[in-house]
Amino acid sequence: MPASILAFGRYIPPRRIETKTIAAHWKRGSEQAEGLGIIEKSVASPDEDAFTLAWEAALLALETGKIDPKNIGAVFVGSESHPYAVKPTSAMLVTALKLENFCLAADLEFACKAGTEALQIVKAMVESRQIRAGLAIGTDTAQAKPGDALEYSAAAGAAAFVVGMHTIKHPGICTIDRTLSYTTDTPDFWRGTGEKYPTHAGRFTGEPAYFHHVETAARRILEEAKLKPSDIDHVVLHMPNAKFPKQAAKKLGFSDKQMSLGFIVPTIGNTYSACSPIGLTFVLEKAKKGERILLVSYGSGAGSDAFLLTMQQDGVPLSLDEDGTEIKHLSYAEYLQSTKVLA
Amino acid sequence: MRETVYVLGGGQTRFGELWEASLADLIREAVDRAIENTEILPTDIDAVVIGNMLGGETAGQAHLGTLVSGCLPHHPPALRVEAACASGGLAVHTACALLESDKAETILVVGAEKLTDVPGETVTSALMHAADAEKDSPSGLTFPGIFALTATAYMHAYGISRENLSLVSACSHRAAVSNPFAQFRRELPPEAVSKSPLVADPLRLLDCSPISDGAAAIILSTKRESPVRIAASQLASERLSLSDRPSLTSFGSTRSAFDRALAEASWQRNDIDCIELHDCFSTATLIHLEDLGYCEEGEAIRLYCQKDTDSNGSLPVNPSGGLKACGHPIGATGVKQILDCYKQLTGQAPNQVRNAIRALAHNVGGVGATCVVHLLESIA
Repeated sequence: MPASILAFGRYIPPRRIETKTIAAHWKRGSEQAEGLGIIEKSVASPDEDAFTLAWEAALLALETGKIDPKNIGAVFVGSESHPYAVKPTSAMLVTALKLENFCLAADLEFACKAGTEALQIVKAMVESRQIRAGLAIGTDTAQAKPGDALEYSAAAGAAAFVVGMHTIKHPGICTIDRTLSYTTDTPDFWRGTGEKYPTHAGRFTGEPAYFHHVETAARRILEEAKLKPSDIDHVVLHMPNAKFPKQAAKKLGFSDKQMSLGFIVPTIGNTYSACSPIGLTFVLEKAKKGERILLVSYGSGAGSDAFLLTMQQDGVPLSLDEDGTEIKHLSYAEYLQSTKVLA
Repeated sequence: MRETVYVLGGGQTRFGELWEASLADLIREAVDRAIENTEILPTDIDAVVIGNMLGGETAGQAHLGTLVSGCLPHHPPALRVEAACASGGLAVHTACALLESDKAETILVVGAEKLTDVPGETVTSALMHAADAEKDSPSGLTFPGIFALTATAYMHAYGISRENLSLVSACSHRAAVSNPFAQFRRELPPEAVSKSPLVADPLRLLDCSPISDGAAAIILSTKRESPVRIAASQLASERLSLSDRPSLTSFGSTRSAFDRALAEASWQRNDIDCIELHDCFSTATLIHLEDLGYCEEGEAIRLYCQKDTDSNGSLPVNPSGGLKACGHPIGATGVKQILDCYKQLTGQAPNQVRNAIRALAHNVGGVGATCVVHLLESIA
């Protein structure tokens, strides 16, 4: 019996900077930003970090799913921006979320796929009956060097999933039927210890990195499950920009329609470890019972995690402040202040 | 030419972002293909000349002559030459000089470059080694910036419109569709060139030849005959810095090298059936055609407007796709140009110019600081 996602939540800070604002600051034309397909990206407030974002998302998951925090036996948090190099975000969440202290907590890092790795590990712990339920979180306040192309896309956000075996009380939103990972040593994007900003290898981040891993993992999981692209109702791929996932989807045989629910990068940007997980939350709100979901993340360095999920009920809308909260658009100076460049 | 230098043939790698291959891998592949295509024995090669500009900076490898020599079982004498983007042409010219002076009878000429393993900023910075380190670099110029200065002057002086300028790159891409070794093999509408991101005003991304990896190799001989000979090989130099030139819209090295080549071969320019031209930037292409004397100043754009430069036109320019569409691995370009001329003259070119008997290869280093011109002739 596969484990299920019993509840989910997300948090996207209500502050944005438009990519045209960034381009204008650097006195550039809009072609590069338009080429990336990102209109605006989310920006954390100066008093937010990957821990606070994770807390917001996890709290929403627990409350929406009416999950007793004391039933959580493990917390895994994937991020590229853990507030501490040594002092785990996951441990802070055990206290902040009032979880059971006899709880395994661990932080993960694998670039943009650390959040989906958390989902894989929690699924395994549930299915092996080590825990009744666990929290898998992807969270990031993504860093980008001012003036670099990454500045247009690196964003802030978190997604959290409560994973457990479905019961009558917690029927489960979707089963996580199958998952696999594909991993190589590919130096496309990295951040050395002590460095503030990541370095990337330009065009090398495309074919040998993102496309190779996403396509390989996607094809393999479909092959193992004996499914065709047309058997999938919703597809969520990692979204470093708007162009890459669309190109990958086309090569894999998926349509824009299959991609539409989870395709959130144009107005949020790339939230790194939270990117494809946040995309999944949008799908889980609207997908219908019986529909199949393919999720493929990508983490530089490099690897992809692929998941096949099946909806066990119609989607669960989140009661978020998103609909009511006014989005504040920042100037470039406000953005720099928020991302602590000026600190 | 004091001796008849025959082009026995050659081979090349694909040009492009070849992340799976190192500089040495590229060289080996080109050399293997050249030997295979010419059916000579490796031990028939008396000497090796390689053209390369940035092996040290981008691949951690200088001393390339010896590297190539080591690809052959008998380790013949070898040397590397460098003249920025004219390194390949200079390698061919140097080989001709060695052959004419009887220092060797059969020479393997290689051009190679590996640029995509380092960040774009590193390549941009290294390419400025082709300009004047004391006069040009401190101003913050990059090579697109230097050519943008010439482009601004040229477009202003002759009223060249953005729309018409875009025809130049469109022509190269059209030609490269059938070239299996080209980096880009898709047609490009002129509108796409006009809308591409600005690199250095007025030059847009698709006005500029790309950063590429690749290698090409040819074999020249005075001992073995072939249907193609080198009718002329000339090298000319101009002042290194654009700031020392009398003109921003003409490169004296091209005029000088071509005039001397025509005299050496006893040809007229209209004897030439096809040209492999150094189209590093679209505006430079126009300047080169005028410096070669094919049209009056400011008039070269008409050749593109009238499609005279297509392979079935009256003056086929870059039927291979040129630097713009084939790619521009710096040191490889000049050697690849000779190979493409050889293919035209032996009826083997994918985008064949009909009845091609005489060809021109034009290779430039820096902002026209070095020019190497070769004239080739089919004697079949």
